[in-house]
Amino acid sequence: MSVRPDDEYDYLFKIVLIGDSGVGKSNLLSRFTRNEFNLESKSTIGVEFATRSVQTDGKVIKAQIWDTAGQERYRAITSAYYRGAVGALLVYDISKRSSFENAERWLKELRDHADQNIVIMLVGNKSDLKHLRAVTTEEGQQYADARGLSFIETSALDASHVEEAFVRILTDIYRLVHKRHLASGDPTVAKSASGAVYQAGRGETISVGNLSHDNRSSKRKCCS
Amino acid sequence: MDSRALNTVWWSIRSLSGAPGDCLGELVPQFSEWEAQQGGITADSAPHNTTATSADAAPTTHCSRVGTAVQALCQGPLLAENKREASTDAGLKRGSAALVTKPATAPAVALETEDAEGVGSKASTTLWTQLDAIRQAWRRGDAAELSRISAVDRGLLEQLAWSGVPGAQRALAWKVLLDYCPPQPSRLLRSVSRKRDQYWQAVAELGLVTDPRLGNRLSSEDWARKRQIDLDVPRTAPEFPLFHTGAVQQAMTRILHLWSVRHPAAGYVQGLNDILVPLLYVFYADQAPEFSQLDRTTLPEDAEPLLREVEADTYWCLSTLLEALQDQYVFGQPGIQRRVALLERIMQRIDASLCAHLAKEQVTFMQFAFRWMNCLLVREFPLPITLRLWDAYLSERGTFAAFHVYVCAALLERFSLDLVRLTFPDLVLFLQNLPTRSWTEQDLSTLLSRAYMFKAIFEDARRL
Repeated sequence: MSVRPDDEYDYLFKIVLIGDSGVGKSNLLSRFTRNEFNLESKSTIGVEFATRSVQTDGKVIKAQIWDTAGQERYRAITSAYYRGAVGALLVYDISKRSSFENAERWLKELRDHADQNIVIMLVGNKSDLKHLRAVTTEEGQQYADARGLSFIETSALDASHVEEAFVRILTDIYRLVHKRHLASGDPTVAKSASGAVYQAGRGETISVGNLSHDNRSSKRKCCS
Repeated sequence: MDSRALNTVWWSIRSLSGAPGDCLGELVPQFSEWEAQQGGITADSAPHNTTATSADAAPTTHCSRVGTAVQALCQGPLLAENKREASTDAGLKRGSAALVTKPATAPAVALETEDAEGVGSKASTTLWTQLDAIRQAWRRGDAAELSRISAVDRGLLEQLAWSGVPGAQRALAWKVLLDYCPPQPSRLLRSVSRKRDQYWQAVAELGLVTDPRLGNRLSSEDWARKRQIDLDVPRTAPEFPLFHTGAVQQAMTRILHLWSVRHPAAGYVQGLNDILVPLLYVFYADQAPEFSQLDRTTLPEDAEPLLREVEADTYWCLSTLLEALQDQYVFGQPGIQRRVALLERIMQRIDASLCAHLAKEQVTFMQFAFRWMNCLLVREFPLPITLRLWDAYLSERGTFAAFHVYVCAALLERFSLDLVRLTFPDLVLFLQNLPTRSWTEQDLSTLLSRAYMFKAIFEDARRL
């Protein structure tokens, strides 16, 4: 089994995209991973997956992103994907007030099913729909500040801030990991972390508490 | 069993399987072993008088015969010889495709003495001609003519539909198979007219949900449903402009509303809109040829009465279709969970090495098979292929939900060689976008035969 060059990465993070149906989660994902936008995309059934690597702080970070269906009925299926995620983009549509108001419910979903240390970014999508805006930028920012989330407004349609959103959350996660790694100074953390990487690379549960993802050791582990 | 009979059994199974003999050869011992583990009977006690010249058997009987035949083959001394013969047959694939129709085209007992293909095609010609006559008379509203036409042989229709319904007869065939049109043409006009009236009456009573001015009287549940349907209808079949004409969008909205209101435990679930597409398309195209042009962006002005009829027909047929699938859409979606688990168990028997590979790459069946179950593979195939697949599904009556799992198994097995070469995440990406865009009916026929064989073997094994 050969490892292709584009599979070389230092860290691998699992991210989930959540939020109400129709807010543009799938288009954010396709814009980020393939630079594509589809005005007539079909609804997501269950979960869909995509991946992309970015460089930040001199490290290559591979994002493994799970895009979940927004409908309530799918919650039982989709919440299983929160496990092991180290980051979540909670997306709402700036032109649909209800999707912003539902943010609280999505945060509760994360509290119930995801790791408590998961890094969350609130994303107000469809910023191109200025004439239909129903949630101001300030409101979004205030809500995020009050809950300790980072915040950004994006448009998957005109591509504005999409790259920035993903790179920012990945960087935040990386820095958090790095800090904890240094603080721990404990070789067992690195060891358990490498196990976590191996698992994270395969979509399994890891603990954000051991958020260290040194991939090199895992590569040896999974390919030897 | 003499060697001639065993040979026949082998050829019959091979023709059913549509796959090289070697594949089946690998499969057979696995099943044999599995059945032994399950405490099933061994070949020693199995009936050895089975022959597979059994086109006279009804599909269910045929299933058991194939199962028994496979059992016999497991122990048969001629297996190796037959396998060699099978694997050197260059024309196998072409030949098998033609023979796929054989088990289903069983018109009568007469097959023992007559050429099977001949009688099968005669019976099918007669049935399709009959359906065409009904269709023409129905279109003219000619009650007298309809009363002169004899009743459709539903059993025969099921058998023939399994191998594919001609495009022109598909709408009527589906309506009969879904118990919407009575098999007796004399009852057709009254029965359908009553159903259409019932639909429009129900829609009128539903005004509360569909009229936005009455919005403040809606419960939060009604609102959530309405919001989701309104969101999904415009996202349905985006590749076909026809589905984005106002009239078709409104029809889809009403159908989905009424169904979800009448099935409150399920309600509206995303993906039901996808399941609506094949039915709507087939029924529209039958009423007016211009509907079959999916790239149309406008509909003729005089189309409204036709559309109303099609809409009602589609609603009732969707309701019948979903009866067997309701457990897929209720809270927690237990039907999907169960079928995905069954698919995994089947695959463990059919293709253990693929399963081991998926497990090694930590790809779970739920990750890719959820959508296969939820949307009945509508998203995985081009529309013409889906229609052909549904011919077979509808011919399976109430058991099609189970058959569907075997089709999924055959689909996974079909791409096994590609899949075992891939690692995560390419593996998941491949499974999310199967290379089926260029599939032909021939590809689907082969898939169906594999699925049919898996079902026969597994269900037989379970019965034992």
